Amino acid sequence: MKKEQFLELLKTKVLIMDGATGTQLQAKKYLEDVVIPEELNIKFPERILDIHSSYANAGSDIILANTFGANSIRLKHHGLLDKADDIIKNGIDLVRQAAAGKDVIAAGDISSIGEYIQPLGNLSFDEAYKAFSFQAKLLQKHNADIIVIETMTEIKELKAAILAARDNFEGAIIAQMTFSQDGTTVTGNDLQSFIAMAESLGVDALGLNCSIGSKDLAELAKILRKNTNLPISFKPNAGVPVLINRETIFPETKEEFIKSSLEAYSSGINMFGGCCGTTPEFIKALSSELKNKAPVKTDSVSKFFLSTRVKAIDINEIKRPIVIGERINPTNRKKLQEELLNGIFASVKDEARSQAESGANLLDVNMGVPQADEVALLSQAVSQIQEIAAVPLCIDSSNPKALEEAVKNCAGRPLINSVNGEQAKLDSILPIAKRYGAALIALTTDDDGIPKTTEGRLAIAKKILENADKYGVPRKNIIFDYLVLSASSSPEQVTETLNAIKKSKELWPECKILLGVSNISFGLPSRQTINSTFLKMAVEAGLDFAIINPHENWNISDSFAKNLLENKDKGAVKYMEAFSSYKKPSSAAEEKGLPFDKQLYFAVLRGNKESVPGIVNNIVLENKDPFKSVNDAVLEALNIVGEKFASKEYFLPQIIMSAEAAQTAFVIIKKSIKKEENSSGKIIMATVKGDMHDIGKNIVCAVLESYGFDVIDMGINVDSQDIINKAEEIKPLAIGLSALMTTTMPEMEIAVKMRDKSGIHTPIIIGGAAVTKKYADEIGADFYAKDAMDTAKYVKQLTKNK
Amino acid sequence: MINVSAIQIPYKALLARLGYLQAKTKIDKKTEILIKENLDLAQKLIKPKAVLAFDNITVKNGIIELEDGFKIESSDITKLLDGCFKAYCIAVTIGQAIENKRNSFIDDKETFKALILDAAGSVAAEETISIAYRQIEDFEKKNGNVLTKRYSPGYGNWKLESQKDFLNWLGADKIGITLNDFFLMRPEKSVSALIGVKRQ
Repeated sequence: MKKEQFLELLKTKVLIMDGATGTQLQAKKYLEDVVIPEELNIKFPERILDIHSSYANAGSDIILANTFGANSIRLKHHGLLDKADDIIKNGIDLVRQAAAGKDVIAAGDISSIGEYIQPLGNLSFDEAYKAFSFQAKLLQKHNADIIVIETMTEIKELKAAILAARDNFEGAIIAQMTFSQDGTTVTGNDLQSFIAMAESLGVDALGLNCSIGSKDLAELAKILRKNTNLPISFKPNAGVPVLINRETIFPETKEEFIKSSLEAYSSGINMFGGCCGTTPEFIKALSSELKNKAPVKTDSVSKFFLSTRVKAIDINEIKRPIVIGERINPTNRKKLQEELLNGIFASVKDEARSQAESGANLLDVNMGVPQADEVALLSQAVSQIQEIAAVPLCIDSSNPKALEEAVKNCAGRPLINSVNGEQAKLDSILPIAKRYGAALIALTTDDDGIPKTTEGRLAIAKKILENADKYGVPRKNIIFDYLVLSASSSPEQVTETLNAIKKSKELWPECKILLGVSNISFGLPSRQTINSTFLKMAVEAGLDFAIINPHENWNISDSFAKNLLENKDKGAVKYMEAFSSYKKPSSAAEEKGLPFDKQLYFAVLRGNKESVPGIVNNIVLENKDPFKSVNDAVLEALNIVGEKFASKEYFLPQIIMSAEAAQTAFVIIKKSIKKEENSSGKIIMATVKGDMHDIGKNIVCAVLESYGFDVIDMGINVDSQDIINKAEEIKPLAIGLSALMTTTMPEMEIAVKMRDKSGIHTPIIIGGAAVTKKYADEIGADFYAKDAMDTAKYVKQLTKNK
Repeated sequence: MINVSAIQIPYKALLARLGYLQAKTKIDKKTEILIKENLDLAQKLIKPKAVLAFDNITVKNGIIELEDGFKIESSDITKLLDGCFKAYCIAVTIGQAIENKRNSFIDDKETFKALILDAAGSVAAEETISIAYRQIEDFEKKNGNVLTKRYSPGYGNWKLESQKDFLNWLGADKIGITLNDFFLMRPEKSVSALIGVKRQ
């Protein structure tokens, strides 16, 4: 079925989808003797045919083939990859057979891989894309009419699935996600971020499935309808299932389900079906109420979403100017460049947080660090920022590869910064904007530089739009930058820029306009006075976006500055008179540079591991005995940390942050002075046999390493004999044993006995939730450590006694 | 009766679990931000689920016998369920994803993040079972009944090994809970419990 045919059909009538497959298979005990439901297609096709037929007979216009999890990763995991072609072919064929002459649309079903994409999980975006592409190609090969992507809960996985479907499948694509009552998915994506992502990637319809029962989902469907013009599908479960007395009970009745579906219909929904817990009876009732009805017409909506993982902003709703924070940019910032070259994103994250707090609506991300791999760096920066800031991004690079990789990895719909009128740029950047549905900043400059006149800039804008048309980028996604020149050197240019904004709005009202503002004040005193005054003038002219420093004061409107900007103050004479003695107030009294070892002391004390590499490298350069300097500073800080922990001023997270900072210092210093003998001694650590608890032992390891000890971490569930053997081999200062449960504690006693029998005298330290000093004494352990700091204290004592 | 799908991990409970003392601990801004960011991550990674079974019981001679024949042998638990005519068996889990992420942080030596995710997972599991308990409590209250506290295999002289039969009887595999060779539940952040019901 051609995409156009399907969309045409949706204009004339609502379509009935099918009901649950999975819970029907369970109820009929059809899942016996197969590894995964998709295997039924080739092993027991009659079972799938039975379910499909029941829905075809109930009146379904669209039936989802049994290909839900037939992506390459999941099939491979279950040893069925070599059967993929048959699974998908039969999947589609079985829908056609069930239709038995009726007009039924066979939908290829794509759902979650079952493993999250980074950063939530370990799967890469490309791996997920590949797995979905594999599935979509087979759905194309075996003539599925449409693809329904369903039960998605994570925006990046949705993105991978839609892109894969679009790249490999010719028919229409419907994308559905699953939501909780508060309108977010389990991973926190809200309805608008879903719409922003799905619409920008070019789905033909979107919708809701499974989730929270029809009543609550109908409310969410109404919100969806108010935020998109695309057709919407509605496929709720029969309520949140409850597992009681070995039965899975879906609380919703058929009547409740129909009532909510009718409500959704009246709000303008186009496709209706059911998910888990619904049955052919539900669909039959749905069909008798809604089949062939004309869709309810609703007002068209005008939204311009930019989005993150968790939320979207509607550009049309935000007061002008929309602020793009410019601070994540390493140009002329040496310290930031060094950090980024070392793969440290702490300052970038700090800038992201603080700009968002200062009211930035979007964050520009530029990673133009000389000698860096910008492709990798920009992509990493996007991920790192998105972990902490819920502000959409403006991805800024002149390198098309870096742009594409970062836009691909962005969880949400970003803005691309930027393209210009150079043909080579247009040919490389416009396809990226098209592919990912991103909005695109277009600078009105070309190979000949910035045109001096309004007309010159508009001519480039026109060329850019013609190219956008050619590449299929909707004009409304283009955001023009008419470029700001310095008012001191080119005062007449201010008017040209403002005129270009006004004219552009008349010519192409669908295109928004942006300026990077601060260039205007280059070479003048009290720059912010000029910047702020100019911004106000530009907004009056029709400016939408401003790339600025959101921490500055943007409420200044000054008459001297205005005169200058209107070119009424020749040579800026009056402005200079008024402001020449102006000095920028220093933002904070700069702390006088402390000696590096003192800096290290504070870095460890405050747990700033990010600043440690720079400091330690300086110590190595400056000191005669760098190891001693580092060692002394770290241990002095750790002593204070220990005291603060003892007095409960610090709690565990702060200990760990300090320990990580100290560890970082030791790793670098040991590497740079290439001395192995500087270890404070070896310590064996293990969680005892039968116990799988890792975290407590790891905390102790981290703290011991922070004191410079070499920790041999033998892991969890370690046999006591192995521990003693290891101790005999490496002669450590001590053995640390962890057990979390009373049932595994006896293994500690076994270890102590084995040690005594072996004839070695290595002290054994024991700890863990249920372990007590009394128990340590009873079993003959040398020390009971109540926490990680206690362990470190004891081991330090051992080194002194040695 | 039971709906645990929308559990929010409480920040204060997370701090308490990490050893925070309101009167003494001074938490700096940076630590607070980092804890909250990782709490956000934890929230995205949990998928709370519950499975429940109940039956009338008779309690005698150190054995709790359910009507369908399932038995729990423990004199300690028998005492605690003295006077009860019914028992709920419940298991909850918050899923595997948070553990996977924690483990990858451990592998990357990101101990701080691992610590917060681990603690947040424990708090989430505790919150899940507590909310389920309250939902059962509300339901039973309407019938004029009260609940005992909740007890898990391994408590008192109720053998940890009983966990196997207990979870089997309950059908905990339906929410993805399995046991390893040492009778520990997988996913790790899962809780099982027995709750007695008696007339008020």
